[in-house]
Amino acid sequence: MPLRIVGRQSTLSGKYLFEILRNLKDFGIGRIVTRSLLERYPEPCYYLVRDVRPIMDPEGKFGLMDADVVFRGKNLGTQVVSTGFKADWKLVPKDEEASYTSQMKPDAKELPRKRVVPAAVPFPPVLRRLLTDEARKSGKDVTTEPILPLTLLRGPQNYPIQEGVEAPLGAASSPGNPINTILPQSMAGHLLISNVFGNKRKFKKKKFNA
Amino acid sequence: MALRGGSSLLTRGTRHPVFRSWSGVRSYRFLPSSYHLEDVWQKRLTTPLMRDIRIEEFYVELRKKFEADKSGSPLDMDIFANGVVQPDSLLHLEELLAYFRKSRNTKFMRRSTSDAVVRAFMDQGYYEELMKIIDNKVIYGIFLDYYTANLLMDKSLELKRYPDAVRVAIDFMLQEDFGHPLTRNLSLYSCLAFLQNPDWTALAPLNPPVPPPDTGEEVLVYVPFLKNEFFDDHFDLTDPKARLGKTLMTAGAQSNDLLGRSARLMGAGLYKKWEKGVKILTNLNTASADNGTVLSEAVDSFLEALKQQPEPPEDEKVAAERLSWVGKAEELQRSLRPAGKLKEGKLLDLAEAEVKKVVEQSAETDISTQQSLYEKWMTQRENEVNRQMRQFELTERLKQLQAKRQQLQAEEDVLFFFERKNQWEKMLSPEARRSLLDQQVRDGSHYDYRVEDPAYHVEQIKPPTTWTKTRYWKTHQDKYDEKKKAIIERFGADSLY
Repeated sequence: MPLRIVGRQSTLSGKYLFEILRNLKDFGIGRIVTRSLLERYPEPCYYLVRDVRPIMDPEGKFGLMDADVVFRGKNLGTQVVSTGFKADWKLVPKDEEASYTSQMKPDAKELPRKRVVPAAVPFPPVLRRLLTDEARKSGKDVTTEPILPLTLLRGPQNYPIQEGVEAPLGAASSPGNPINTILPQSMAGHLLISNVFGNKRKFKKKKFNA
Repeated sequence: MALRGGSSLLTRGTRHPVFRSWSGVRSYRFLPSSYHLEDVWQKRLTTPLMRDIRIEEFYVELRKKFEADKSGSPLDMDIFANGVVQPDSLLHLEELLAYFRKSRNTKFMRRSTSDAVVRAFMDQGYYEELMKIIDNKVIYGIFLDYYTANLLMDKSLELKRYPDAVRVAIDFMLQEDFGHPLTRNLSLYSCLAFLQNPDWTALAPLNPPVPPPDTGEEVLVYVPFLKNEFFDDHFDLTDPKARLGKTLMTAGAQSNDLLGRSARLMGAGLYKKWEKGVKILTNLNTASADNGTVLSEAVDSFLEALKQQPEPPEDEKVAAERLSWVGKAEELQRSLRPAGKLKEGKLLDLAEAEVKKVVEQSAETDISTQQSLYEKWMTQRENEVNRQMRQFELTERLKQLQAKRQQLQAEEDVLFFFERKNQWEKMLSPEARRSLLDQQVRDGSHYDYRVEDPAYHVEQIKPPTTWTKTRYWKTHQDKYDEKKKAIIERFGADSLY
């Protein structure tokens, strides 16, 4: 064997982008391509080719593509795609294109999320014991179990739906929270960690000696 | 590249014996002779642009241009392809196409170019070379349109060059583009006609990858990442049977009639997609009597392919799976027969009848649209050439004017030298001025004639200034004050602090 190629192992499976596009009429403008790396998401992820800037190197590794990018069912608009050199591109056959695009409604910009997490969870054992003791001392009802309302961080890639919570960040501990009506046994208003341990986390200003 | 090594085209001499000169009468298998649009096609040579062209000289110039700037002009390429009328120029055309494909302008290749290339090779009867060009998209980048594909397929059928017709059909399968009914039905007919007497070696890949020469010495090639092996089941297909089967499947999937269903089933057998074939059969079983018919020939061929032992022999697991499909398919066949869904007849006859029907329907519109396209391309080419010529003339004229202006300036400098001696001296650097002055003092030739001017004052040679923040501030203070004033007027004095 005269040629032996040496390099690091890759986890990607597929072709270079222009290895596919140069075999297509008009460089595949109007066709749909996708990456094997995006197959792990349940929502559709694909690129609709709008324009190309080929370099025509022998491997088909280089060149730029303008494409309508759809990531996890969210239309990110027309972008310049410069990751054509990654060997994990795939052409979507025309008869399968509908399965990618039909989930995307023409007027809706993104799909509804269906990642539901609980609005509240039971306290960990020690905290629970402390709270019940405190309640018993102050003569409150201790038959119902205390519940800890969850406050979730939300970002552009992470916005789960909480059961019974519609308001955004930090709403679970507010007094007007609908969770109080849904879960009557929750002590959402007064069972904050700060109420239990006291507000120890004070912000100290650092002084700089010039 | 093989092209640079020598002539691949001329030495082989594969011109088809049934070649007829373009002025003669053309014969076709299905299409009317008017489909070729001989008169309209020849009209392109009557325009003043194409009449004056000398193709050999043009080739040399284009070749030089390609080698110089590595990016050819799509218009030049189009003109060359349209200007080819002799077989000698076909080699040049092939070579220039390969050059143009490597350039970045390949994206802008005109639609008329691919049309002209196909017609040039067809008219001269070099079918093998044409197939090589169409097959290799990476090197030549010629993509067929419906009209030329119809022309080529029909001509190949007439000459009984069935593998060529199938190759065109396979090309459309790879593009997944069976939108035109005539192209679709001609593709189906070509594949079925080939299958009557199949010669699979004639359908072998035309451009197989060339392994590097074995020198006995191992060469290490270092790359950042190894590329994993990947088979996309589309462009990577090399087995002629699978390619033809997939063509039958994709072309048949466009229409849900007897021909389409049968072709799909037959294709599934050739493509070895057992699951899809059995799914087609089950769908037929559940469908109504009108939509559930299929030719028994197709079912038989599917079963035959399913029962056939592959070479080399497969694994036990795969064989067991295949046998389970055989059982299901036979059962379905038995249930289809009493329901009257298995029709007798030949698939090829069905396809032929369909092609004849479609030709009657769409040949007229095809001819008229293509005629208008040819005329449009002709005028577009002329207009584009005129525009570029005008552009060239303008730039040339501009260059001339600039040269004239420079010449006048030089003359003026000579004539008004002594009047502008001040300015000349000011243009010198301080050191040069001082040395000039010293020289003149030493010579005794120094006479400061500027003292005769009442408005004259001696300029001090300033030391070179260095850039500091305060100096910058001082020089631009007025500007800053103005800005500050404007901000205070608009947003109030508090906005500054």
